[in-house]
Amino acid sequence: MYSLQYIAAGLYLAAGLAAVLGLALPAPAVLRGARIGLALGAVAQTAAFATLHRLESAPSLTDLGHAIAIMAWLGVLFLLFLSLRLRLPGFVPPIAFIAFLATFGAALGHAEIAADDASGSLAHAHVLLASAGLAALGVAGLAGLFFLLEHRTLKRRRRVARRIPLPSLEALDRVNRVALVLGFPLLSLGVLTGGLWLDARTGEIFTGSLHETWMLIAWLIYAGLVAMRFAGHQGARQAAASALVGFAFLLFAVVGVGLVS
Amino acid sequence: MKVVLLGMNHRTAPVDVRELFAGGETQPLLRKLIDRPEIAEAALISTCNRVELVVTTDKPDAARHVLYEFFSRELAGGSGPSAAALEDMTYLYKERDAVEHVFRVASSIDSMVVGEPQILGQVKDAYREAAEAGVCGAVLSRLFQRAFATAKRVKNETGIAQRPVSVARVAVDLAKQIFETLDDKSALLIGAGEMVEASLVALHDHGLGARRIANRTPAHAESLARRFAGTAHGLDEIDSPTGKLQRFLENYRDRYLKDRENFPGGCIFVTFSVELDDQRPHLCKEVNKGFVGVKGMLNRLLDEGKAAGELRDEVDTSAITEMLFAGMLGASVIYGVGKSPESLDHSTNALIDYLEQLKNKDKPG
Repeated sequence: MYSLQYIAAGLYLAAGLAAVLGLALPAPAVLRGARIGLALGAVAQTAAFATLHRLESAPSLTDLGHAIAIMAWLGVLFLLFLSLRLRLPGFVPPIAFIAFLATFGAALGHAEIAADDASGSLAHAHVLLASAGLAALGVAGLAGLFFLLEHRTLKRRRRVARRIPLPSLEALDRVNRVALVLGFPLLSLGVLTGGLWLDARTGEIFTGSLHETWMLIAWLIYAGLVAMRFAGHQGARQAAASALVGFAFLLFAVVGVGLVS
Repeated sequence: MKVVLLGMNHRTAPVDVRELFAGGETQPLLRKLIDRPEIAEAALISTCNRVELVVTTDKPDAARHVLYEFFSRELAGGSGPSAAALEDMTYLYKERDAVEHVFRVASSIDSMVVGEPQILGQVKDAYREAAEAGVCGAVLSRLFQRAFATAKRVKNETGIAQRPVSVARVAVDLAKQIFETLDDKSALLIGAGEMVEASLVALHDHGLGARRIANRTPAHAESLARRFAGTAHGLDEIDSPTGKLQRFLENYRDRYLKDRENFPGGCIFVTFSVELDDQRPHLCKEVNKGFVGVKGMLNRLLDEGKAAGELRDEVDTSAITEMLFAGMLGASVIYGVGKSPESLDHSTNALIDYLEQLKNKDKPG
């Protein structure tokens, strides 16, 4: 079972390296190979999840390492979906390497076995929905980072002919928009199901823990950003910076709080 | 004999000043300059980004005054800035500095896009013109020959020309860095010179959707527009409020309502408004904002046109706004029902004709 996760991690690593090579040369054929590698990695990881799910002693989805692996897997699927319409070669290396680290880490850590209170459908719904939202918003954050870098290069008139072809500003803005449209509702559902799961366990929808508090702050920030973006009060550059800042909060709420506490 | 160079380029003078000095027959100008006793030899380097006079003289200080005066009176045909005003927009090099500058220009080190290959050909043209006019003696000939040799060395011994570079290429690279695809974009190119032509070729090769070429002399723009399936415009058209209004109506007729792929139901405002009325009042309110915005734009352009003297003084811009707006909506409703392009053309053309009749006939152009 874990061997499939190792295979997926290996494919992600190979895809990331191939993408770096393809961008540096530049070689479109190698870049195509990198995308195929990424897709094969996603297939292997899907098979790994299916196998894990069928185990009698299934690992807990609420385990942080495992949740991050799911998030990375969804991020890869989201990128592959976007790549059908847009040219996004610059996204492949960071997402492939993140997916490699997440998958390899989850396989190496042999996630803890699910406790009874973490094996219900609400827990699964919370982890899957929140992970999907995080993955999409992570891609939005990455698009935001690329947008700011590209915009800065353009404004400084340093180098017009690009050695490493980042996607165009238009494509990055479109990724940002699509990722927000998909990610924010998923994150909202994740927060909602998290509250319901908590209610089922403790009788309270909000206990005031660090994770819940920061998650709520991050959600409110995103709600504000989405409202500003779609009400037309934000330009593309502001939206890119907002997506990056928003994801930093979100990451802290999910990963940082766990490390701090 | 000393070499003196007076010039302006993209760094020292804005494009609207530079273009005053562009064009005209070079050889008669050079002969006129050489008639001055202070000047022994002369050449004129004229490109879209620079105008430079290179002369040889025994009296550099006297030649300096002659060059400023010549720049102001002759090169700009009397319409350029005064000799005093020119000092801030030009550079003057003497002797070694002048020679070094010519070498830098020919080697494309001084170009807006460093390494662009066109400049060497343009410097060669300048030399040829001077030689044919009989105003290029031993000193300038030697200077230009050395400049060409230097440019060749720079090209061969440095990495400056490793990649094909040009303003056109940079424009396309920049466009691709900003836009995902150029198919659905349109570009307005100002000017009708070599650079614009090269940019048109490059943009055309990359699938640019629509091309508009604006030039002070519309005839030059038209010949380019014919070659590249674009539209030609005069420069004054861009600034003219009534020109914008006319273009808006033409686009409404040709590109908006007839775009069945994107707006299959005709005017999107009308369609939405009808569909949303009663069911979604808040959305209907948003659509109404669109109506108000369009109406406001029409009114603003009419007011600007009247203030600029393009429309007759007695024109009531508010009433005309209502009339044009109602006419546009009427045309879209009729087109939405019958989908008859002839009826749409007829209705919109009537509005354009009406706008034409409101124009102040005393205003030139």
